Amino acid sequence: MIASMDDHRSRRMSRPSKSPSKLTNRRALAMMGGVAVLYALPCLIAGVLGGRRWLVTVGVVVAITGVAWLLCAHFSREEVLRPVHVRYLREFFPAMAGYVVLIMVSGTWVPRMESVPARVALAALPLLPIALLIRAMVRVLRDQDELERRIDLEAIAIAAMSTAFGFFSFGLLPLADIGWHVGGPTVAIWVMPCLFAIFGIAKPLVARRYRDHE
Amino acid sequence: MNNHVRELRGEQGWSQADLAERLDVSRQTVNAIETGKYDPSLPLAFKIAALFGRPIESIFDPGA
Repeated sequence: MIASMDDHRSRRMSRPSKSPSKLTNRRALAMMGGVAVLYALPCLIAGVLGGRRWLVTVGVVVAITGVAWLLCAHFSREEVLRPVHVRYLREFFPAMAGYVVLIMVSGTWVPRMESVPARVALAALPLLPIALLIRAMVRVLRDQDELERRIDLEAIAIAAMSTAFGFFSFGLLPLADIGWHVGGPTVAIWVMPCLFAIFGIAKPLVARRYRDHE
Repeated sequence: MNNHVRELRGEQGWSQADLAERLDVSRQTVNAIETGKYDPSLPLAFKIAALFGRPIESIFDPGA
């Protein structure tokens, strides 16, 4: 009885006053979603007005991600973030901010550069924040608790297998000669967004298996 | 595997969040252990046993 009353109390409020960090999952997701949507809007406007397809694509992807984060913030239960996840966000945000800036710089300036080494350096520039993002993900994977790690690893396995399956299928379809001609670089660029997107969908589904009476 | 974590936590008057903080795990992990959705690793099971001051076999049993 005491335990069930406790659970009820804990369901309503997860002791924010006792935690060293006041940042909650909902607040973090809402912040990330808001920033993403705010970033996507000028991309979409500039892309449509300037007739730049890549900018429209970036805007659409970022907008979808932002809306997904806002929906997650709306539907998830308020929980105070543990220090390991606060650290992850501290590493994630600058890396993501760096990426969105550098992808714009790269996309805008690479076609205008004459020198090949400068073009290569500029084209590869967005890889630096992506490497920092991967580092942040590996660190959080190592330092979170065992169930969180298990859920993340299961979701990563599902995402990796689904992405590989999807791209392999995509590679086989041209054999049917149905008029699809997509360039290799375009396909390669979409591997990572697909991986992250499927991970984002798979994680809550995997986590559901470990939830009960919440 | 069955366990008595929920009862023991109730005896102490702790919420799931309180226990999670003491074990340095998330509240969802405590909930998953209590409801039998997740069996903790040996180190975490020993940590739980040490926290409640009981032998591990009196908290966890493999069930029938």
